[in-house]
Amino acid sequence: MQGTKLRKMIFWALCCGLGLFCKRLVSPIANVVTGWLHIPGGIGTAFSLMFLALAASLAPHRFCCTRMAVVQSMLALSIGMVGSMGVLSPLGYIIPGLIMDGLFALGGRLGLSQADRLALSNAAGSAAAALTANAIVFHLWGLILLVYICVAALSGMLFGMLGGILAEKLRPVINYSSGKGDKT
Amino acid sequence: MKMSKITKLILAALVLITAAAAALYLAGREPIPENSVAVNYDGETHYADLEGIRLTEIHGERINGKGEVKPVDGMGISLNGLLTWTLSESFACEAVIVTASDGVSAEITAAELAEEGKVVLLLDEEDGSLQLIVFGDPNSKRSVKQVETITVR
Repeated sequence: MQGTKLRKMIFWALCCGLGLFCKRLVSPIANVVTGWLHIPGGIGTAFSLMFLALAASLAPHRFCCTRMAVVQSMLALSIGMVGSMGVLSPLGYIIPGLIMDGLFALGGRLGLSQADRLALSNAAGSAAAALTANAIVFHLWGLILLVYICVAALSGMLFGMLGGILAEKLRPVINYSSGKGDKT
Repeated sequence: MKMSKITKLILAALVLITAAAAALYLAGREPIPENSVAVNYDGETHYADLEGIRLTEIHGERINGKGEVKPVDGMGISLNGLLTWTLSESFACEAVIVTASDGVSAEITAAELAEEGKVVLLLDEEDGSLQLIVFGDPNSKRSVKQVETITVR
């Protein structure tokens, strides 16, 4: 039991780190798309949030995404990855985390599959991150705000689907929810 | 990977709404000539040709979002200088809104505009665009990159 908990925590930590730093991997491609659409972003965060959704799917726990978001925000603050949000940057992590947890819980109650929950929670989390960034930094309104939110939600959904594929492949190896992958 | 009909419907709706909103937004954007900045003043749009602007050396320091002091060195022009050059007349204003190509904007008050050396447009040597720098800001929130439109109110 202790082994499972420790392995869960290691997996969460890994996903926290991947979520925080992998954003930079997709940034060049994401910037091409957002530059063409003339919007300030939204795609990189969707990719970053996929790791939170992946962790919530493979190693579920109450408020899993929120807890990981808090850790990510503390990590980001400590290493100075605050971006243009400054000291308010934790909100940009925690609000999407809360929304994703809510969607995961709601999806569970509605009997949705893990793939559905991953895609929908990632889309909602990504849209929430975009709205938070807009409220704190960008202050966009009108059609451009709609495009920004839609692109964030759509890319969140697509990365959520990618997360669903990854989760399907990883589930036989990493399954902390039922103990199938736990041999300690 | 099995997805329910509801999720597929939501995905299809998102694709449609995003495509429609993006098409409307891109179609409604005012075309701006290459290497130019649009200046809206008194109901008219003037274009500042960046290749014709006389740039000067800009040196200073600014504080970024992390509270770190970063040096600013490069070629640029004061915002007031660009407006005077483009409008070719003395102009009165309450504020100036500087907007980037991605819609992000920053407001500059008339007092800030009048203060010499406080508000400058720095040339980005990589892409030839201008970046707004407001010296003395406690963070870089108004450091709008890829300036596209300047609206004089």
